[in-house]
Amino acid sequence: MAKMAQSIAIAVLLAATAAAQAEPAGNVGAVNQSAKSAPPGRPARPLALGADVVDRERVETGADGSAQIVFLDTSTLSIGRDSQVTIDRFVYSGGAGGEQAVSMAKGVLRFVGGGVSHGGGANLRIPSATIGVRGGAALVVLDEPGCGALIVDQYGRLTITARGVVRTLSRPGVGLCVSADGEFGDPISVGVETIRRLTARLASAAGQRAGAKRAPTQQEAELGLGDARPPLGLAAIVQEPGLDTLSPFWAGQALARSKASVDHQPLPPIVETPDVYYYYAPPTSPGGPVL
Amino acid sequence: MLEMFRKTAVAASILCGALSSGSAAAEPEERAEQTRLSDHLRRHPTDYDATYRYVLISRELGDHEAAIGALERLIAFNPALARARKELGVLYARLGAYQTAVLHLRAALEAPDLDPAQKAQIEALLPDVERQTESSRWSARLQTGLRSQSNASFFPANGLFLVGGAGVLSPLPRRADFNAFELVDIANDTDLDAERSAQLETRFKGYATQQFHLASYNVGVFGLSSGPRFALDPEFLPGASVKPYVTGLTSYVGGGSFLNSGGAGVVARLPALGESLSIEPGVEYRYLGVSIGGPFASLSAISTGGAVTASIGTIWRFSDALRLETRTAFTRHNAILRSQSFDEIEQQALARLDFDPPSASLGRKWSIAPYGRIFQLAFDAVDPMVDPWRPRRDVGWAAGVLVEAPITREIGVSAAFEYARNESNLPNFRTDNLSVWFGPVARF
Repeated sequence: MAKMAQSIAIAVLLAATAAAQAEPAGNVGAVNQSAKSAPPGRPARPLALGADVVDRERVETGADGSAQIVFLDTSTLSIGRDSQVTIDRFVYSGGAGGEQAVSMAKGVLRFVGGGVSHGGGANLRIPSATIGVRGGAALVVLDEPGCGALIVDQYGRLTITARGVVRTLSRPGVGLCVSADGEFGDPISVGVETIRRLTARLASAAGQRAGAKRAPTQQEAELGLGDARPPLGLAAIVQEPGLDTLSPFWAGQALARSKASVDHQPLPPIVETPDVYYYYAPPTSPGGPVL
Repeated sequence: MLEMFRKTAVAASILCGALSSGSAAAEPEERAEQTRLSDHLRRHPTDYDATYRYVLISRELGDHEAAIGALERLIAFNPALARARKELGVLYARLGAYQTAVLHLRAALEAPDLDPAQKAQIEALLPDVERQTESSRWSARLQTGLRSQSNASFFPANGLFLVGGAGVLSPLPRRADFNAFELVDIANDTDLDAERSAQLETRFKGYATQQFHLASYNVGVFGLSSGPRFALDPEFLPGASVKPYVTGLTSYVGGGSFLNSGGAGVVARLPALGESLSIEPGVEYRYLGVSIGGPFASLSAISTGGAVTASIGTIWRFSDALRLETRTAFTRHNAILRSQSFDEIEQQALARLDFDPPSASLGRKWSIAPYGRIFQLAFDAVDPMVDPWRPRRDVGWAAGVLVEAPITREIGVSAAFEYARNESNLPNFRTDNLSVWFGPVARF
């Protein structure tokens, strides 16, 4: 019995040491309680702002809880209320290199890709499908009524695999339902109201400050973010002014000039008074301006 | 003059190169600072000063995702932080996440404590972003104004004509004139297939002028094109698309029908350099029918026949403030008469610099765009009416500046100054013209 207790103690110690030495995958960027996490081999603890998050750490939120995990590659994972997510694997080798896998058992999340996703190495796993995120952001909810899991491409490209079938979303604002047994629905345009409803499950509720002792103020934000205007043509179909703005002027000018060259052409001179005209000496080569 | 144009073009390319290399030199330092701030903020997420610096530097580097993550965090700390919501909305819009952008921009606009200048910016942007969330998206740009031309009759520069090889000095002078003009540009994109990003793109352009004195040079040009744009395989060519289209044009000069044309083409859009560069190669066939009579109808450069154009356009968004556009095209025109058949090479370039207007209450940026255009025409055969020995060879060029100053989201003013010259081996076609135009512009 004493030997068995000794073995258990050693195993627990080893696990604790391994966890303590594990390289962090990222940190807790924001947290509304209740939200707790369980690193591998360790009991669940309340999530704390700035705390390390490691591979195989499981994060669970309650009815009022939400959290944001910031990874080393600057990607962010926002976890909504009543959700459960596990950081399966995170390896970052700089630039667009590495591997990132996150499993989601319930609830809602938003993943905004960073370096790893730009190399195509980011995957979100839900019970019925795997979602590859390439240079983009995904909003995923597992309990959407009439849909099952709803996967929304916020931007970038999502490759969704379920039961060996692969579907790709590359248009922002398009979503796909995946049933519990891995059947795909038709792609749908996800409206602003649906995004609002899903985003509300990720946001701080009234009175919540996501773990901050002091909330940022409007005045600070005005000063800190400056006054830069949005670039022109940000969401316009017609990207003018540009060459397209000038093309009608040039086209009109070409038509008028073409007609003018016909209108102005004089009739051949009458050969009665040789002093008023001269014969043109034919050149030896066509000549002409050269670019 | 041509030499001057060449030198200007070389200077412009050196300037662009210098801008490019200057930016490239500054980037490693900014990247290092972004990494330092990122490491710091992971452990100290409530250091707000560092967060704002991180947002600005990430935005500067085009790393919009990193900036979004930081702004989402600020909003988690204070859901009423409207200034951060506005920034977040703009960044989501830049990435094409229009639904999410609308959500944040509307919330920021409704906030009671957001600065009025920020609200003006949102009001200028929000309708465009909201339009992008619709399955059928309309857009219109209307412009009207006055235009002055130093040679509205396109009379030869020295009044010299060749007639059957004989030189004739015309007693008529060149004529300056003013005109009123109207320009309409209507665009519609309608989604065809959400999953594969297919959409039907339809464009209409109309342009008409009314000369104050030279009514025989009143012009109207009306063109329509339509075709579906399909995304190419995102696995191999992410962001690339191709659009086959049909196109038609009708026009009049001086009250009589002049050119009617119809054709079809295909154009691709290939993003490069992280989507800051868009390359658009294309090919188009058009049949042109020209209604012009009289003994000298063969002198019209635009003539009945078929034309094939191969072109390549580029749009380089060098930064938020600077956008460069170029277009190079080769056209082979086969007319009924060999003397009206020609090869044409044309190059166009425009550099648009966007800048903040003088008042904070003006929500949209103003822009100034110097531009240049040069083309070379080489006709296949002589026109004995003009010169029985030499086929026509033209080199034309134009240089100008286009300025646009939006006042509200819908209304602004636009002005341009342009000098155009056509050199030719035949004096009949040597013209120059100085144009200045000005007027209100509206966009919906």
